[in-house]
Order: sequence, then C-alpha cells, then structure tokens
Amino acid sequence: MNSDTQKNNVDLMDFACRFFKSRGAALESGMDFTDILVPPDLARSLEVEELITVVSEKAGSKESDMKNRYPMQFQSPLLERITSLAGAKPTFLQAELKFEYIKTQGFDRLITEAFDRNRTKIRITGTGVARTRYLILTSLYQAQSDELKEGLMDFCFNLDTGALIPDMIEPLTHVQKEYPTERVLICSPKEIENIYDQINQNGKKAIEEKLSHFVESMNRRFKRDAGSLEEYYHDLTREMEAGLSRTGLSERLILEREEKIALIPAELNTKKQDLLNKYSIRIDFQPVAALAIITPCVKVFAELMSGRQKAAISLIYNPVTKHMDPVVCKSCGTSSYSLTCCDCMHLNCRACLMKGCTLCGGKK
Amino acid sequence: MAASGTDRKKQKRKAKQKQVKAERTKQIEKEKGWDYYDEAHYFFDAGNTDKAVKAMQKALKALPNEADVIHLLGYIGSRTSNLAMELDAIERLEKIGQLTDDIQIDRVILLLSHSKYEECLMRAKQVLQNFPTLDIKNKRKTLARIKEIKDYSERMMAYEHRKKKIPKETIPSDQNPVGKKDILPKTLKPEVVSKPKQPSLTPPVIRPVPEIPRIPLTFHTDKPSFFKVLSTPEPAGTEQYELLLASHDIRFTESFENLICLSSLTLIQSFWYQEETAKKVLKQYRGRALLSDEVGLGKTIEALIILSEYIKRGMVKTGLILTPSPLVSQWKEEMISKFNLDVPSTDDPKFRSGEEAFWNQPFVISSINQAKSAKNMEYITAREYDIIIVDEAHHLKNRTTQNWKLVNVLKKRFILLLTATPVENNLMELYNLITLLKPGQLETATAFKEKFMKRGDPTDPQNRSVLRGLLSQVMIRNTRSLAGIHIPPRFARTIRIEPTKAETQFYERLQTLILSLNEQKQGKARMAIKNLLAQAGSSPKAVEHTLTAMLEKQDYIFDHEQEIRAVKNLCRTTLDTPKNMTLLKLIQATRDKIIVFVKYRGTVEHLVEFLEWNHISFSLFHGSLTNLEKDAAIDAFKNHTKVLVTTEIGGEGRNMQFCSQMVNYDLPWNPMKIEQRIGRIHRIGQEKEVQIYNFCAAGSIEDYILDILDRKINMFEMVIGEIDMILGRISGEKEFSDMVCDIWLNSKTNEERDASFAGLGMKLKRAKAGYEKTRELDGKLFGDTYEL
Ligand SMILES: [Zn+2]
Ligand SMILES: [Zn+2]
Repeated sequence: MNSDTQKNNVDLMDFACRFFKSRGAALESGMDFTDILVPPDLARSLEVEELITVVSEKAGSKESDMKNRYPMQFQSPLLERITSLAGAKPTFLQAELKFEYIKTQGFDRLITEAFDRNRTKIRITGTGVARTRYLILTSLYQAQSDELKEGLMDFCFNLDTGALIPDMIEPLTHVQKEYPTERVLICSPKEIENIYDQINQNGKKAIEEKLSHFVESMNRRFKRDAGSLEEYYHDLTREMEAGLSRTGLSERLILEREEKIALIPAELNTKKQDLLNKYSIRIDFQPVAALAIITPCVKVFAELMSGRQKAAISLIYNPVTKHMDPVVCKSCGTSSYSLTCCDCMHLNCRACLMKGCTLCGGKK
Repeated sequence: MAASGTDRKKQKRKAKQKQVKAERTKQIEKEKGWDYYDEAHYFFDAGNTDKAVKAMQKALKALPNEADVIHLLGYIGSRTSNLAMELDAIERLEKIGQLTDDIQIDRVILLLSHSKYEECLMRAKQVLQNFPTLDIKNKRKTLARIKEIKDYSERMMAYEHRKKKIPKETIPSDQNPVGKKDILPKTLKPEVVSKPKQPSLTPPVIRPVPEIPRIPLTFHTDKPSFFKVLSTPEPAGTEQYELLLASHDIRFTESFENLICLSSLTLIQSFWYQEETAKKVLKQYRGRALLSDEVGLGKTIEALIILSEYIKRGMVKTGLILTPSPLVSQWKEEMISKFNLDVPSTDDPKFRSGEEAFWNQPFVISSINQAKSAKNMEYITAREYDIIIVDEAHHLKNRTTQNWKLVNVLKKRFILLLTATPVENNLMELYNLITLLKPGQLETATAFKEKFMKRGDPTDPQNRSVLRGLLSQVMIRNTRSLAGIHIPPRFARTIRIEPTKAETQFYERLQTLILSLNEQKQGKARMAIKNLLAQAGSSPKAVEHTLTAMLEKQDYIFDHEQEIRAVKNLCRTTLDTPKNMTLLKLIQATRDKIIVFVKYRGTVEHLVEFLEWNHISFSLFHGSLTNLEKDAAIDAFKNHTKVLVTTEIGGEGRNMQFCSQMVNYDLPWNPMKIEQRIGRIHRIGQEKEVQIYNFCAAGSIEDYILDILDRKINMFEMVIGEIDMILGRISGEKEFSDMVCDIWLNSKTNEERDASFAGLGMKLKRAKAGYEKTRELDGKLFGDTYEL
C-alpha cells in the first residue's frame, strides 16, 4: 500500500554503492553501472565474487544473465543480503551540535505561550547557557496479525530531564554537527532503565495511534468472520433441532443427534479462538539505532507560586526546536506542557492532579 | 373345511403384505413431503413465492398433521399478507390440537386487522369465554384489549349492517352524510399496528447478536536490546547510521507485493503463476485457501512458498503438514532440498507412534493415518498450530470420516488444502473442503444443497454465479493453458533383454535364496529382500554389494551363509553383458546426448568401467559430489561428453533440458520415482520430443511393472503428477512397490503370478478411468474461472 511511493524514494544503486564504500570496497562508476572490488571477507558473506559490477535496474534487465553482474532491484538476492547486513547490528551514533546564535531573552512570552498553568503563577528568576543531552532512539516495530505491518518509529528524550521531546528530528537536519569518534556520551544504567520505561509507556500509546487504521481493520475482519461463524453454527443448531421433531426417527437416532447438538457450542468456541489467534495483534518493539546529542541550551530558572506556596523549577530552552522542552510529571513521568502543581507544589500532569499527587499522598 | 384354513392364512399373509406395502408407501410419501417442505422453505427464502406456495401445498398433502409444515404455511401467509393462508394455518393447528393460546389471541387481532368483524367477534367471544384458563403473558392488558376489540367489532358490524340498507348512491364516498355522523362508531379502531405479534406463527429467524470482543493487542519490548544499543562502547559513523536506516526503508517496501523468501530459494526456479498464487493466498485469502491447480503445475511448490514466506516474516512458527503415507518422504525431501526446511516426519527412522515429544516439535510432516490414530491424535488436537497444510485434500471430502473430523478439530490460524480434484462425485465434497477452511462460507449443508444443488445431478450446480462468487474467495485453480506449459510429447520404449545362461542361473539361485529368507524370517528380512530383488533388476554388481554387506554384518544370515557366498560368487560378470551391449548400441546409434539413470552404486561402477573400456565420453553425477563438482559434471555433459550417468539424487535444480533422451538402466519400482527421473528432462524448456528407453530383463519384476505402467495405463505419456492421483485411488496406504513385491514373493506358480499382476493392472486401469472422469468433471465444473 505504501510501496510505490517509497520505492521511488530509495535509490537502490546509490544505496548499494554507499554500502560497499563504507565497508572498504574500491568503486569505479560508469553510466548505469559501477565496478566494485569487494574485500574478501565481505565478498564471502555476500556470496559474490571479489570483482563485481552492480547495474541499475533499467540497465540490469537485459544483461542480468552475465556473470558477476548484479542488477540492483527489489527482490534481487544480493540486495537482500546487503540490506540485512547493513541493518543487522544496531548502531549508536553521537553528535555535538554547534550554534552560532542562541537566544538569550524573551523566555517569558515563550513560557506563557507554551505552558498551561491553571492558577499557578510563574516568575523567571534567571537564565544561563548550559549543556544538555538528547537521545533519538529509532525503534523497529512489527505488528503481527494475519498480516504484518512494520516500520520505524523515533522517540526523542532529554536525558537530563527525562522529558519526551516532540518534533525534534526534522529541525535537527538543519543544525551543524560534529561527530566525535570516541564515546563522550555515556548513558548510566539508571538512565537506560528510565528510557526503557518511557518507551514502554509512550511507545504503546504512540504505536496504537500510528497503527489505528491497521488495528481497526483487523477488528473489522475479526468481527465479520466471527459473525459469520456464529451465524453458521446458529443455523446449524437450528437445522439439527428442527430435524429432531421429524417423524420416523428412532429414539437412538434422536439421542445421537441431541448429543451432536450439545457439542456444537464447544466447536464454535474453538473456531472462534482460532480466529482470535489469527487476528490478535502482537507488537514487537526493538531499538535499531540511537543518536545521542550533546548540545548547548538555555536553562531558565523560575519560581512557581500558588497561593502562599512557592517552588523553584528549571526549564530548558531547546535551540533545535527553538521551543521550550516539556516538563515531567512527578507522579507518573509523562511529559507535558502543564505547570500544574499539587498543594505541596509538586509538578503534576492534569491526569495525576485529578487522581491525586503520588508524592504527597493524594492531596490536591 | 381344511382348504379354507390355508386360504385364510394366505389371505392373512396377503393382507399383512399389503399393509407393509402400504406403510412403506406412506413412509415414502412422508419423505417426499419433507422434501417439499424443504423446497418451499428454499423458494420462499429465495423470493419465489409462487413456487414456494406450490411446494407448500404438496407438503401439506403429504404431511397434513405436521405442525412444522403448518407453521411454515402460516409464516408464508403472514409474510405475504395472505389472510386466508394464515387463517388456514391456524385452523389446521387447531385441528391437530397444536393451537397455542398466544395464537388464539393473534387470530383475533389478525381478523380485526383485515376487518373481518363477524368472525373477529366470534373468535373474541370464544377467547373471552376461556380467558381464565389461557396461558399467556400480560393477561390483564390482553383481556382489556380483546374486550375492546369485541365491542368495536360489534359496532362495526352494526354499522355495516345499516350501510347495506342505504342505497349506495346516496352516500358520497369520501364524506359522511350530514346528520348521519353517529352511524360510524365513535371509538377509534383499536391499534393493530402495535399488536403483540409475539409468538407469530413460525418464530421469525432472529439470530442472537453475539458479543464479539475486540481482538487483543499485546506490546513487547526487548529490554536487553535497549541496554545493548545504549551502552555500546564505540560509536558508529554517520554513514553506517544512515545506511542502517535506509536498509530498513528498503526492507519495508517489500510487503507481500514481493515475496522475500524467493531470494533464498536457490535450488528451484519457481514459475510466475506459482509466485502470484502465493501472493494471492497471502494478501487476499489471508492464509486460508484451497489450492487446486491442475495436475502438474506444482501445488506443493506454491504451498511451500507460502509457508516459507510466513516463516521468514515471523508469522508462522509452528505447522503440521498432512499427506497420504506414500507422499510423506517426498514432502520431506522437497522441503529440505528446495526450501532448506528440515522438518521431522513420520517416515523418519526415529519416529515412534504415540511419542508426545515428537508431536510437540514446532513443525512436523505426518501421514494422515498416523495423525488420526488414537495414539497420536490426542497430542495433535491438544496443541495449537500456526498453519496446517493438507496435501491430496480430496481425502477429506467426506464429512463423516475421521480424516475430515481430524482436520476440523485441529486448532489453526492458517490452513491450506491442496487437491487437483476437489469434486469427485458430488458437490458436497467441495462443500466439505470449504467448510474446513471457513465454516459458514457456504452456509449449512442443508442450505448449500437447497441453494446450489440440482435434484438428480449432484455434480451440476445451480445459481452458478452466486456459487462462483463464494468460491472465488477461497479457491484458486490454475490451468495448464494459463501457466503456458507447452512441452513436446514424450515417448517410451520398453527394451526387454534376454539374459545369458549364466545370468539366468544367477537370477534363479538368488530367487531361491530370497524365497527361503522370506519364509524363515517373514517381515524382518523384508527390507533386505526387497532391496536384493530391486538390485537384481539393476545388475549383479549391485547385488554383490549388498550380499557382501550382509556377510560382513552377519545380517539376516541365519543358516544361509553358505548359500549367500555361493550367490555372491555368481555376481562376478564380464563387462559385455547383454544389457551393456544394448546400451552401447543405443548410444552409438544416435548423435544426441543421453542421460542414463542408475539407482545403485555397484551398477554405476560397473557401467563406468564398461563405458571407459568402450571409449564413450561420459560425465558422472551422483549424490556424494560437492555442489561445485555437480555443476562441473553438468557443464561437461552440456559441452562435450555424450553420456551422463546419474543416480537420481540431487539433480533437481539443474538445467538438463538440452538433453532429450534418457535410459532407465534400472527401473525404480515406485512410479513416482520414475516420474521424477522423467521430470529432470521433460519439463519447461524442453524443445524436443523426449525419448525414454526402459531396460528390463525378460520375465523380471521390472518386466511386469513396465507391462502395467506402460502398456496398461500408458504412464509414460501422462502428465507428471497424474500417476500420484491414480495410485492414490488404489493403494490406500500401501505403496505400489510393496504391492509388486508382495505379488512376486507370494505367488506359488508362474500362472498365479501372471494372474495377480494382471489383477493389479486391471485395478490401475480402473483407477485411471475413474481419475480421468473426475478430471473431466472438475474441468467442466471449474474451467478457468478460478485462475489467478
Ligand atoms: Zn502524571
Ligand atoms: Zn504532591
């Protein structure tokens, strides 16, 4: 359903050449083809000769019979091996962002626009440039029912606050980056644990939203099939019952048939379970790539006031999104643009505020 | 009077006979009546009221006192607003004492709604009289209502009575004459619209609205993999990162549009229609389908593409493949050799019936017989399978058989049924198959019969377009013309070779030894005996190998050691045996290339020596070569050698169609194996007519086999796959080779042997005729309607 548009977006030739290059092959390009000297190890794992020619799809069809010539097209065995090799190991990339200019004032207006505050008042007490860490985690999801739906999904976290950051990936492409070759950003086990929890919590919600069409269509199919199953067994029962009242049946025969009728509900149940198994959806979530970002940001220090109560908080201005990052609810950990507090001035999301803050035991 | 006594007895007997006869006729009449009843039901549901009423009348005549029939009459009456019919039904119910109190009330309301005031009044009075004894709901309310109806009817009758007295022209039709307004009863006609139509005559078909839950959705994350990614010590480069994301994008475009399993199938070339069929089953039929391509188009390959695809996508992790016993090993071999799927089977030497551990393995190939045996069935039915594949699914055509019931109770998500002949004698067979795939697709058996089957001809459906619509949701049937399979014909020649005196002596000694072994240790030595007999048909050298092994291992020897040594000594032969000389002549007589099929190693060695001696250029191809060596052997044969000597193992994926002549130097007893040999060169890509030379020694088992397969049923001219269908009809679960072996060993005289083989030949001939009839029927029934 989405293959055609996507197919055109992926230049298979380009992809293959980049792949070989990245693995140490020597390339020499011509029109519609590229000669490649493949390192022995790579040649072995790709099951090709050491000197090969990859040809573009257009040129490939007529000459694909020739030895050592590989057309780069969907369903070609070599392409399949390349993609599975390229996608085999989850990768971790880190980047440092550089900004020529970062805003230093006007946070008042930004905060007022971004956050929902209810009756809480906010007063900025200071700002300062700081460094913070983000993580963009790309996960592979596979939703399996009686068909398979898969794709990639990105989640972006601020590692220092634990907040989930929306819309960070697209603006990131325009930012100047450096890629340190040594690992500078280390996630502590606690941070990873936190990310994992966040994925579990937000991933399910996000994926259900993303796949709502798929989920609904599976439900429709199940409903239709189960309905027709019910109908069939209902009719069958009725028919068999009607058959009982006919004249000329021996008692033994009647008894036999009654036994058969009694077994129908159980059979119906197994068949329904079959359908339920066929259509039930299992979603597997697996990280395939992570991009860790170290970046300057602006820390905004502020005071929240509600009645006589006060609390000091810090907010982060994200130079990539040019927006304030959300805050994290102290009760449930979800990220939101809500600066609402319980009576003890704990930041709580709206939902938790209704249920009662978990930090101070339910007081509003 | 003495005579009158017997007369009376006679009379009595006659009377009795008459009575029995009358009763039988009555019974038949009744049966017919029910048929008419069914017919009326059907026609009425189909919207043909006239026919329904006619059938109804016939049913009533035959079964005047059956409440069911009368209810139907009332039902039809009420649905067509035919008052007379409804009232007739009520009266009939009254007559047979089946008039319920509810219906009595109904009748009053019914009469009112049709303005039959006189009768309505009468019935209302009747009801009121018995009212205290009536068993109905809402008694008080109903009582008031009936009273109201009674009063209203009385007034209306009075009104009508007066109306009749006044000449018509004085009353304007649309206006009451002034001053005569009070003639009309002031009360409104009691509501009939809201009459409690509750138990109407036949209770209307109200299906329960079942509570259908939403499908469960589960979410799984792999915790360790998060830690792994996020704590890798070395960061990757940007190129690697981007390539990884791109690789996933490429992979996602491969929905079922593209079969991802194909790229790993290096050992077969699948055909376009097989791939398209697989895609259709995956995408459109969503894993529940009847694959009924014509014979020879490769349903097995289609099913295995589907299976591999599901496995590769992680959608199938368990499965059960059910086949007739003789096909188990064939499936096993195809799966491993072509799809790289190594699946345990009930043919494996390790298999023991009734062993739970065996059945708990993720995938199993089983004969239907093993699966349905009481020992194994409990394990199979207790667990769940992602997919069930049933080959030769026409063995499930009968709903009352254990085969059908087994597949029906299996817990499964996907199911593929494979058969080239879904209908053999009766459309119900097709119904039974489809009902296994999707219960309800063709409704209940009764409904199916009514809708789609004509009386008299169970193979000729009616309402074809509706049936076609339903079938095309689950069935696919490609024809040879769609597949574009046009291969030149093939011809076979049996070449009977007269043995030399020495050979005859050898055969006779061996025969005596075999019979004696068979007598002493029946059953146990069976495999060895069958082998020896088959090897004798190949060459004495093949026998020598086995005898040597027997002596070394001291197998099956008992007190035969002496004799075994004697026979072994007779195995030493010269190279220029009549068989070899015949082959040489054949090779020298043609300029074409020839493939020589040989089953046994001993024979191969002997033959190779002979060819070398005679300076014939040849290549050798056998199972113990490496893949590279195999390629080299075929290359050599293609480019410069004249002969390819090959054992049958492992040639499947290689192109040998450049050769059109083959010799069965020895003949497998299993016709399917013979077919596999032929299939190596008689396949798509072959441009010449194929010549098959079958060698056999005069009077040998092979001679008899060829007589049956070639002369009696013309197997060598049949489409590949057809012999399976024919054998499937006769052997039940016994293999052809075993039947042949039994005849050979159990015949006391030559005459007996001749007769038994002739009998087997007849059986096969009949089976072939039966198969051809079925093939024709299915061709007529399905034609090219269910092609891709
Ligand atoms: Zn919360
Ligand atoms: Zn609190």
